[in-house]
Amino acid sequence: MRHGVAIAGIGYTAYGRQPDVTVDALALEACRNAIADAGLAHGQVDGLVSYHASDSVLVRDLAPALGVPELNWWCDISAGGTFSCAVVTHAAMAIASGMARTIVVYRALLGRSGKRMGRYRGELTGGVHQFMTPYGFSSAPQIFGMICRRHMAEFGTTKEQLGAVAITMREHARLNERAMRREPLTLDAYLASRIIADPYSLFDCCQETDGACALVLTRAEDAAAGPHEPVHILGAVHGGGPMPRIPFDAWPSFTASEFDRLGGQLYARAGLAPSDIDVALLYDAFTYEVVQQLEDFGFCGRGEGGPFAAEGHIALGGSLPVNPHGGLLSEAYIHGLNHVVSAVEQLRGDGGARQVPGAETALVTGFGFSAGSAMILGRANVV
Amino acid sequence: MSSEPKPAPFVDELTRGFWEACARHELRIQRCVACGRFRHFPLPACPACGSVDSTWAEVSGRGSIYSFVIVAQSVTPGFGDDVPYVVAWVELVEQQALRLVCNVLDCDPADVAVGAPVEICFEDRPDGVTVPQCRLAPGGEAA
Repeated sequence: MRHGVAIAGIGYTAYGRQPDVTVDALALEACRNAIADAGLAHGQVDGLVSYHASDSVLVRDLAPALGVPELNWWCDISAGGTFSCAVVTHAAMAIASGMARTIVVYRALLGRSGKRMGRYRGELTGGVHQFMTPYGFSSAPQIFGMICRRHMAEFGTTKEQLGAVAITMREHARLNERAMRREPLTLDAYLASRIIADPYSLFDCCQETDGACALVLTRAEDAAAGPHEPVHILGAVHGGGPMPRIPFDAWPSFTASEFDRLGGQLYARAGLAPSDIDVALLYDAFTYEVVQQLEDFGFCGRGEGGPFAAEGHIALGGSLPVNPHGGLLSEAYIHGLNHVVSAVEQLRGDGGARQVPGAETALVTGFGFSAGSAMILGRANVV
Repeated sequence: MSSEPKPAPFVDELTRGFWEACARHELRIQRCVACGRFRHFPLPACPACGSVDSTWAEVSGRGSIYSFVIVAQSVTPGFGDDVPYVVAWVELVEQQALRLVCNVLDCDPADVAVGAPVEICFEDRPDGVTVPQCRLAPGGEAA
């Protein structure tokens, strides 16, 4: 997928509890920041795309304030974190095919002060939910906790190993001035935190966030004329298995996600191997998802993800630094698009105190277990 | 708020056969007429062979816990007095990966384990809805 498209700009708002702003204002601020970061002016955008599960702003509502005179391509996607990389590759495909020249990819949500994803969604008693909600089974920690439990039972993955993921993300967030959670987290405090849906307790769960972030994608030659070194998409995947929906009904094995298949496809497309990855931005709505993806993407063997995390490999300075920004667990939950922003920062060398020295390749993922999207991004010299 | 009703399934034409059987205390699972594969949750065609012909076949109600969570903080109406309660994916003996969601009734959550054998039972709720549930099988040990 070395198709002459690059990420030229990144933008973001403050992350946290912001009850006094509208989600529209957050989206606008992040997009304007990304456009400015790319060295572009008001009116120089001709494509927009976002994904909208839970709180959001539709493209058609954002475009007027953003000053898009001619919208040549746009897409409103009804999906969640599964699409956090696919949304970027959709834009890249639109540019590569000539549909548009400069596309802003954004995600904005009042995830704390507006629609809260963890709350009961009472309207959901139809479709698959008729077999779930009558059992008090509806929230994400409950649904995703099921795959964690199975892994713990099959491979002996421990709560302490999940805690290592939470604590590592927190240690990284302490180096990130825009992270929501920067106070230290000890293993004792992690283990003592209130239970949400055992095996998940409070610190296994990501931050409910009001905020937005955005990216500008352009042709690589346009990006090269901008103020920053362009970041390239070396390979991408976006797919699902035979039953790609949540809650994974009839899924063959809860310890093998669809990334088990897509990961191989991704490395083949990028012409790279796990050992070539300098930094990994792994979708971490919950702690266990990091463990799962360490295995799926070949950084360790099946069942070894818990020990791999607990041994310090995923920390800054380890063999595979994961989520140097602090992840969804401690930076913020912008539905995974903040992982892409962080990857671009790392590849530009702009990671500050959390920079992975000399990072030239980054794996970024959007996890849905039974479906997902992922990319390998790289600097110009590895294209 | 024990008087608050628990959510009732919104039944549709695809799933009506399942819920009507539950009302009679029968566990009937959608089964492909062409290839014999069971499927749950219901689907309009068989993923294995593509046939749209299906029947509601009674199954044994025997299974085991494939995975489970213990909900300590309920977000669902009618469950506030139930915490902590167990939600399990129960895998039925009839076919690999044939699973349904149940609460594990009348149990100490500490006794619930992956692999533990269970038996399906039926819960008749005050609003007239009957839902399949499960209990740990007597004398059962986790696999």
